[in-house]
Amino acid sequence: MPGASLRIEHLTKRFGAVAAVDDVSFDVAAGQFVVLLGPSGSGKTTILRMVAGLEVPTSGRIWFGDRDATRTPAHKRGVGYVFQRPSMFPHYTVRENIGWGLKLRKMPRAEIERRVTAMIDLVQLHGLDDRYATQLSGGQAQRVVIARALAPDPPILLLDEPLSALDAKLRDELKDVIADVQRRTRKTMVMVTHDQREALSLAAKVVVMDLGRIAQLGSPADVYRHPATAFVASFVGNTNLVHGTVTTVLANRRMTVRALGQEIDVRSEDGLTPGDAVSLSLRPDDLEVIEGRDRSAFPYVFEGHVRNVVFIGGILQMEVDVAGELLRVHAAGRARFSLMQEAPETVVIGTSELVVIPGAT
Amino acid sequence: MWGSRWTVLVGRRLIQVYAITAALILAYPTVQLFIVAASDDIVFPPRYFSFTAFNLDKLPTLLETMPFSIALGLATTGVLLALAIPTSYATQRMQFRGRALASAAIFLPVIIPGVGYMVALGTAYILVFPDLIGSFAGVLLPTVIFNLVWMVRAVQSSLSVTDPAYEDAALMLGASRIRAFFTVTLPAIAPGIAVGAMITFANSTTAFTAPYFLGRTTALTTTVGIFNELSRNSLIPRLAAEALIVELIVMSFVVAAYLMARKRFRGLII
Repeated sequence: MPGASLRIEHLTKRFGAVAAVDDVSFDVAAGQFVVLLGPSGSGKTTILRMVAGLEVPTSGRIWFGDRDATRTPAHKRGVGYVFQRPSMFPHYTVRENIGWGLKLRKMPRAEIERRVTAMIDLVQLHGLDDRYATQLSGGQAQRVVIARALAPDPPILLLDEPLSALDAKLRDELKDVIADVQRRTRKTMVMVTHDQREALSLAAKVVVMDLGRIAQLGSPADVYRHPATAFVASFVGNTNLVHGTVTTVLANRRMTVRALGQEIDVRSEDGLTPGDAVSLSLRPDDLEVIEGRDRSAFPYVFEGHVRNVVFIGGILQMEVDVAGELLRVHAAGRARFSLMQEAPETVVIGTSELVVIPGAT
Repeated sequence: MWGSRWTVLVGRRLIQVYAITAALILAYPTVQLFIVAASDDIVFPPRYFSFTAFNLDKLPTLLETMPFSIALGLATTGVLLALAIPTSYATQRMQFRGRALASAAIFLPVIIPGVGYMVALGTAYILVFPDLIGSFAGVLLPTVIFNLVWMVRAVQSSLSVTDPAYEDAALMLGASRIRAFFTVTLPAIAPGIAVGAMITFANSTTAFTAPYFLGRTTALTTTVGIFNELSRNSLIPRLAAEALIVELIVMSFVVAAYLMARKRFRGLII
């Protein structure tokens, strides 16, 4: 069965006086992979549980395609759900777990066997058919749970931090499995995570949540390159948030901002006037150390004193003091070795990526 | 380095000594009973052994009371399985007013001295249900009440380590709440249920307080029968043999139940 579209309209969930989810609306196209990204307590799991029917919304509506599913009981919604902790039934084997939902639907035994085998192929669990949960690694058990959720062929699969209980290596492996499953099945998938790397690498669309509300919604590149708020800038990827003040607003949708000890010419944002506080977001990965290169290649150039250098393999992490603000700079490639060798006291750094966010940090 | 290795070695040895001492203390009564049953020689170690005391034809107390004991054990376990599982589930998983009170109330029968409880219950029997005195039901009721806490606590412990996500996962696969409970949660808490059932069966088959106070001469367990005889005689080989046979029968039931549970719930019970 191909994926179905999902629409969430003004969804709110209150626990007493606390609004865990506050007037959230977004769409998921059929076959799309959407990730709800946010810190603990941002309401992302509550949204997923309401979509699944495990929580009842205080208000708002949930649509599967053109069917209003807001009041449909969980066991009649027909969506798959993968929980944070591996929830493989401990008293059933891998095969029995995967076939559990099919047996419930009274499918013929031969059809169950065929489908279970197909699911084992899909999540690459060959040779482990007769094992129990205690005989599997966390990653293998989570694969069983994904296969079990997909076996009844649900149009929508919900994944609640499915990688968070695993170590880094297993997390990467299972992430690839999930991406592969989505590509091959074209299921609509909604995944919850607090890990921005998972979100950016898996999602077609990211919904960034903060305090029960949507902070920003867009493609991973959009959310990463053009964060709407200081929270999004700092939560999605590493960034340096620098305080600035608008000094002049020009006619050609440009303005100047006083920050890092200089006047910086940037694209103007609607509603900003001279004297307004802004935050500048400069990603450490976008900042480059300019060594004997043409400065004009970079729209934004700063000079600073090197305060600290840490070699962490793939990158050289530097802390550079620019007019009293400490900027983190990630030097990559061969430059990191020459910088380590030369150990300069001052450096010139440049970037073409600088985002202006209205409001102070 | 050497210090830590030495500490580990000493620690291991201490654990071994502790385990052996504990095993000896626990096994001592059985060994003592066996020595008495197999010999009425008052010298230790005994100079001669004999198994004549184990002749069933000469164990009238055992033959008279054992059927009642086993029936009481089975009935108590059955009733408690039906009562304790929903009680444990409600007090462990559901939110309702008075939950804490209900959880605490389960402990009352084992906190109040057994004699006091029996006097209270006996008074109620005499005043309201006189037919219950000396009857199976009259002994069954307090035996169930006394054992409720052990069964409930065993099942609650199992529930507390059973992830509620299993039940939610079953729901998401299309099962109703009831079906999810019976097909996923219940088997997952089988180890706790098995432990609770074993303790309950052993406790109730060898129950003393309830049958002693409320059983008269018609509803007696073997334990009470042996005690009554003991109050007339000293510990003679026949009584020691009866106590050992009771122990053997209870242990056989418990081991059989354990093996059946292990076979039925593979992957859960070691």
